[in-house]
Amino acid sequence: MNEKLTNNIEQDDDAIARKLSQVAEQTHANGQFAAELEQKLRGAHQPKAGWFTTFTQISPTLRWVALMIFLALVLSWSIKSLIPAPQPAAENTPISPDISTPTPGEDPLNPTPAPGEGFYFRGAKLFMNAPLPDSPEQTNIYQVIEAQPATAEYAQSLAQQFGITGDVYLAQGQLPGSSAYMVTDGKQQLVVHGENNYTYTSDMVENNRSYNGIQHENAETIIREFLQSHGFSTNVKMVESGVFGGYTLQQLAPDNLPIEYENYAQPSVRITLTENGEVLGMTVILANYDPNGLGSFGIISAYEAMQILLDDNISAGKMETGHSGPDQNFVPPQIWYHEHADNESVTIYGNISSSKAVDEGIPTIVFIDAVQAVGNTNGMETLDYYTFIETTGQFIVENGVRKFNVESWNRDVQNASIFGGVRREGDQIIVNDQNNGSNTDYILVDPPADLPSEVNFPESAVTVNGAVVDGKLHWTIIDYFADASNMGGGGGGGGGGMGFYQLNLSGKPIPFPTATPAQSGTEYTAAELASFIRYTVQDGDTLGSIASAYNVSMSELNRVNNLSADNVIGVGWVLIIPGVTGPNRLDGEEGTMQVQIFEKPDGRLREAYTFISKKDQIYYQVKGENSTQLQDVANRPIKIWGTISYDEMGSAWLTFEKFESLYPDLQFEVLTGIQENTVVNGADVVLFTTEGTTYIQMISSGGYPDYSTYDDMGEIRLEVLQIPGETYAGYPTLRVFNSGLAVDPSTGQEMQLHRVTEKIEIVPDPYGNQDEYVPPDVTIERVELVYLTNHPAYRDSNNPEAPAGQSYIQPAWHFEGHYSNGDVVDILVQALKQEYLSPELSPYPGPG
Amino acid sequence: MTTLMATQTKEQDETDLAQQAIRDVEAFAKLYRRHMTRVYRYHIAHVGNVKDAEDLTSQTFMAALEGIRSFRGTGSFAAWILGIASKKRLMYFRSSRPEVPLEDAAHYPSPGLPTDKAATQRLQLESVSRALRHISAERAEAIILTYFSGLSNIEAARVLNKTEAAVKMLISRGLQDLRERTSLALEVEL
Repeated sequence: MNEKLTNNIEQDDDAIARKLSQVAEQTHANGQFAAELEQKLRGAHQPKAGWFTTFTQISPTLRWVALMIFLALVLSWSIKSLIPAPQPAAENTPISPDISTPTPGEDPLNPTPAPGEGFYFRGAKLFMNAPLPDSPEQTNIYQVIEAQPATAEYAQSLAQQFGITGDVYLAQGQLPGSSAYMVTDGKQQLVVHGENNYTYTSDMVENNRSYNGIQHENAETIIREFLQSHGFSTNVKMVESGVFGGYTLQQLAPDNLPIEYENYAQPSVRITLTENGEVLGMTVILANYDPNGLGSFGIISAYEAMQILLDDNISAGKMETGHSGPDQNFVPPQIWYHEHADNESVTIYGNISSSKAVDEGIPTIVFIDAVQAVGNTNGMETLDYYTFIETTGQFIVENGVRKFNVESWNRDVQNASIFGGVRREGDQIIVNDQNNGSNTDYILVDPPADLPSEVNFPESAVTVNGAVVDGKLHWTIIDYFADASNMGGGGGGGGGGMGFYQLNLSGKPIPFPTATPAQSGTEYTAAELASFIRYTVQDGDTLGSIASAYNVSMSELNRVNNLSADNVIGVGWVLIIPGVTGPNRLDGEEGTMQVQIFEKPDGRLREAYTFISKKDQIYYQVKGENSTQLQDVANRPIKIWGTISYDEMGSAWLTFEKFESLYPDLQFEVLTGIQENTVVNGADVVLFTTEGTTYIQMISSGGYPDYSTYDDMGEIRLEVLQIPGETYAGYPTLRVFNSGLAVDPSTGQEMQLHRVTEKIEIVPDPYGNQDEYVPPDVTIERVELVYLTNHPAYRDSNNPEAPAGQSYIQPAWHFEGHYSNGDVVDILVQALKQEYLSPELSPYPGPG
Repeated sequence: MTTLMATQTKEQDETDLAQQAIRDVEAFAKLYRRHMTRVYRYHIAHVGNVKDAEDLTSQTFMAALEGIRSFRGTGSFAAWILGIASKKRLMYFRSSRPEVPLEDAAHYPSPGLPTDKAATQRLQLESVSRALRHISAERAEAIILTYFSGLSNIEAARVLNKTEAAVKMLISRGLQDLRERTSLALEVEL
C-alpha cells in the first residue's frame, strides 16, 4: 500500500514537472518588446572606442541604431521652426500659478513625523526629508502629438544652426523603416532622427573619449548662452544628470512644470563641455505636444499623494522606478589612447563605419574610430559596421580637420581584448591575458611610457584593446585598474512599471470598485505552519474522517490546505494538520551536513550549516555551540542530536547537541565513466558505469536520484562519495557532488574536474554586511509636482494601433530619494483627482 | 532531467563574448539574444503578467550592461544574469502590483498561433505563476530557475548561493508543495 502511494506521489511530481516544463517552453517575450529592448541596450552601450560612431554609422547587418541611455523615439516639440526660437512660455498664459518654488505644506494634518521617526514602509522606515510643497488645485493636461520624421532638409538646416559645413549622409533610424541623417565636416557631427531628436558633437574623437565631458563652474551660463546664440529655446531647467555625466536640461511645459518620462528620464537637452568651456556634445530629445492644453483639472495634494505612496495595499495610481546608485567606491581607470604623429607613415588598428551620402554624386564617407579615412579607401565602404581592420597610412590635417590618409588596409586581423596583468622582462613589457584562464603572454608593442611595469593580477588589472600580430600585442586602448575588485558597475534600472489609471475626460465620473474582504480564520504564522504535522491521505479517508481523527475542524483543514469548496482530497495528498505540532527533537537522526562559508564586503565570514535528514529529506538550519566542528563533516553522512524550533519565516532550526560521523574514514573520490539516462522503477535515473560496475547517481545528500547528466558527451568525471551498503532499486549508488567532461571537446585535451569537497569554497555573502536580509530604509529627499508623459519607446511598443491622440501629458507627484543601501527611489503618484480617472489601468507602462 | 551541454566550452565562449561586450555592442547584443528569453521567463513566472515581466527584463539587462565588466567568467553567464534578475525582482516586488489580467496580453498575439491556443497558454502560465506563489519563496525560486530559465542545478545553485544538493531538495519539495497545496495537480493530465 505504501509503495503504491509513493509511486503516486512521484508520478504526480513528475506530471507537475512536465507541466512546468511545458508551460515554460511555450512562454516567449513579445517580439517587439524584445527588439526594442535590444535597441535601447545598443543605445546605452558605451564602448571605449566608437561610442559616438555607434549611433551615427550603421552597417547593413544592424537593423537600427540607438541614441543614448534614455533613448527615445521621435517626439518633436511643437515649435514649428527653430530659427529663431520662439519662447513657448511667453506664447501661452500659464493656467496655474507658478509653482516652481515649493513652500512647506500648510495642511493642518501635517503628516511629517518628528525628526528620527519615520513612516512604516515595506518592513522598514520611510523618512521625509523634504517638505511637502503647496500646490495649485488644478493643472492642465496636454495632448501628445506625433513627431515629424527626419528629412535631409531638416538635417541641413539644423547643421547650419550648429555651424557645420558638410554634406548630408544617410544613417539608419532608430526603428525599422525610419531613417536618420548625418551631417559632418570630418570633425563636427550632427545626427538627426526626427524633429527635436538629434545629437551633435563639436569633435568626434574627443567626444568618444570623454563621454561625460568636463565639469565647469559656469556651466549653466555657458550652456544657456550657447542655446540662445544658436537659436535654440531656453525654456528648460537644469537638473542633476545622475548616471549620465554632463549637464541635463529638462523640458518645461508652458506653465513651467517640468515634463518627465516614467522611468527616471525626461525630455531634455543634454550637454557635455570641454576643458575650455565649449560645448562638446549636445543631445536633444524633446516631447512634442499641443501647448494649448485641454483645460483645468483638479489634482490631489502632495499630502494625499504621500498617503497613497505609503499604503502598499494601494497598488495602482502610482509607479515606482528604482535603480541602484552608481558604485560609490568606483575609481575610474587610467586610460591610454594610442596616439600617432601627423605626416608619418604608421600602421594603426581600428573599427570601420561608413555612411552613404544623400546626394548620389557625393562619395560615401568612411571613419576609422571617429577619424575620417581618405585616400585608398576603396572597399572600406562595403565593410560591415564596426569591422576591425589594420591600415597603413598617415594622419594629416585638412582644413583644420585631422584625417587618416590610407595607403593600404586589410581585415586579416583579429580584434583582441586582453584582460590581466603586466610585468617587465628585460626591456620588454609583457601583458599576461587571463581571460578564462588562458594565461597567455604577449609582448606589448610601443607601451605607454607611464604604464606601470608591474600590474599584479588579480588585485590590479589592465584591459587592452588592440590586435595580436605575430604574437605581439599592438594596443589601441589600455585601461589600468589599480584596484581590480572595483571595476565599476552598479547603476542600471529604468523600466517604469505600470500603475497609472486611464484618463476619463468625459465629464462623467466612473465609480471605482471597492476591495473584497479577506478570508477569515486563524492566521497562522509561517513558523506555526511549518511546525504542524503532516498527514498522508490514505485510501478511504475523507476530510471529515481526518478532521475528527485529529480533532480539528473541517473548515480549518480546508482553509489551511487551500482545498476546494467541496472538500475533495486525493489519496497520497499530504495535508497540514493545523494546531497539531510535530516532534521537537532529533535523536541520532541520520542525514548529511552541508556547510557554506560566506565572505561579507567588510571581510567578516559567515558560516551556514544545514542538516538534511535522510528519511524525509527535511532541511534544518543548524546552530549550536562549537558549530565550527561541523565543518569537519561537511558533505558527509552523520547522525545528529538536538532540539527543533521554527522561525517566523517557517524555516526549521536544529540546535545541535552532538553528532557522529558515520564513515569517518570514507574518502571523496573522482571517478571516470560513462553515463546513461534511463528509467528504473518508474523514476528517471542516471546510470554511471566505471570499471565494470554500474551505479545509480544520487544527489549529494543521498535522498533521491541525481538528475543532472551530460547527454552523450563521452566520458564524464564525477566527484562522489560512495556509502557502503547504500543502494537504489538494486543498484549500488554514488552521491554526486560535482561532474564534468573528461575531455575538452574543442581541443581534445584531458580536463581535470574542479573539486568541491576538498575545501569549503568561500563565496560572497548575498546579505552583504548584514546577518540576514534587512529591508533598507527609505529617505525621500525631494517632492515635486511634474507633468508626466509616456516614454515614447514604450508607447509604441505596447499599442502600435493606438493613435498618438491617446497619449497625454498629465500631472503627477514625484517623490525622489534613496534607500539606505544607496539605491535610488523614484515614485510617481498620479495627481489627477479620481473624477478624471477610469478604474481601468493604462495599457502603457506610463501615463496615457 | 536537466542536461549539461558541453558546459566548459559554452562558458568559455560566453566569457569571451562578455569581455568583448565591454567594448563591442555586437557582442553584448549576442549575449542579450541568447539570454533574453530565460530572463523573461524567470520574471514572468514570478510576476505572472507581461508588463511587469517586461519591465523587469529591461531593468535586468540594463543592469547587466552597466555591470558587464564585473563578469569575470567564473561560472556561467546565465547564472550571473539571473542573479541580477533575482536582485531586480526583489527590489521591484516590494510593493504589491495589481494583478493585471493576462487579457491585456491580447495586445501581444503569440506569433503564428490560433487565438484560442494563445489564450490557453496564457491561462496556464497564469495558473502556474499563481501556484508558485503558494509555496515557499526559495522553492519557487529554485523551480523557476531550473524549469523556466533552464539553468542546470549547478547553475541554479550559483544563483541561490547554495549547494547543488540544496537546490535539488528545494525543487523536490517545491514540486511536492505544488501538488499538496495548489490545484495545479488537478489540472495535470496523468
